[in-house]
Amino acid sequence: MNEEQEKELIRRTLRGEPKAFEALIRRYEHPIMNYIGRMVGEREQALDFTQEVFIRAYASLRSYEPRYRFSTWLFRIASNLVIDHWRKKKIAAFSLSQPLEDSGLTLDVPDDEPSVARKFELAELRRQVERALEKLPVPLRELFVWRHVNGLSYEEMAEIKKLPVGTVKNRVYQAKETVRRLLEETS
Amino acid sequence: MSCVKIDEIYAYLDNDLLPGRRADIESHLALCPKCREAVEERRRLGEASTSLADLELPADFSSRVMARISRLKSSLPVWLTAAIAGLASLGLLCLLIILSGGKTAFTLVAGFHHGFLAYLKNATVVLAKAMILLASAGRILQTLARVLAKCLSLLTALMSPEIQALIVALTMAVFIGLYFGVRKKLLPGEKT
Repeated sequence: MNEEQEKELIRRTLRGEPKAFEALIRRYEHPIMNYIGRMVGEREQALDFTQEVFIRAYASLRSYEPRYRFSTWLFRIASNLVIDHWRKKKIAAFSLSQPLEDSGLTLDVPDDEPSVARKFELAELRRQVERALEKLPVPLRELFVWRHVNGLSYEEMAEIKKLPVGTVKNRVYQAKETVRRLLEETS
Repeated sequence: MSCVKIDEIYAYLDNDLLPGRRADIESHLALCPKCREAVEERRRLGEASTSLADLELPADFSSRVMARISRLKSSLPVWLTAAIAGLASLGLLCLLIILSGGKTAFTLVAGFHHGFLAYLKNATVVLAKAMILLASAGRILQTLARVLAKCLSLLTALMSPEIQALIVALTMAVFIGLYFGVRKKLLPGEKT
């Protein structure tokens, strides 16, 4: 489904055709579930939140501006829902626009690091990455999932988070490097 | 050239470097096994991360969401429900007084001297009438609300946001005008 087809489905939904919106749900249910599932952890809650994203999107579809990608708009709704969840659970988060050095991680020349990725077969490596993701600070986890699982571009992520592209790139690198170090610690 | 920084390794793997810088890094990688290993390590991790399994969803997920949406669409806001219920009760009371032909709710209360059985009989008749009228009023109001909602939805879909805003502004102006007109008529004071 291309962007023009998506926009046509949105127009049809606004004209009162619920089936058109159902097609949009089917297009995005897996990407949104893949994102929310990894952000909240519990399956049932992830399912509820994924439903909630589509309900919120339907309720505010008239406010959607067609000059933006629909996926970006939908992921912003999902991200706001996840942020509310973190706030309610009082999970400490940091601002993505804070300087990188504050986190105690630099992206300098690699030292004599042991190879983690070569230790495992691909399937086992995936399991290890999933486990490391659970320990990754939530703002970094969000970017990591968007980049790797949802395949979003840095520009799309910058648009969702309303941050400069350079900041987003740097934070994604930091997220990847943190995952690698978490794997190093566990192996 | 000195060893490659980690952020440049990621930019290199993303194919996000200027051609000159990319060529410099490739020349360095050909000579430096440590940097080659660092790049390979992150390439493998990247491959694993981009191929994580999809999280499962029920097959009927989209229909479940649509069912929730249609339930939300059909439910009226609390204030509107309360207003409709209030108006319906008022209408019902008027109809009850007209239709009961002397056996109104007032005479029912006043006629307690007829004895308990008569009271019960009258109460049942009034209650049955009330139920029938309430059900009819409910059906009529529901149909009216549905038609109104459909009309509004159709109108808003057909009109551009500018026209919608104009209509809202004009409606507000009419209501404000009416409010001040009525206020002027009803309030005591000097009339010019």
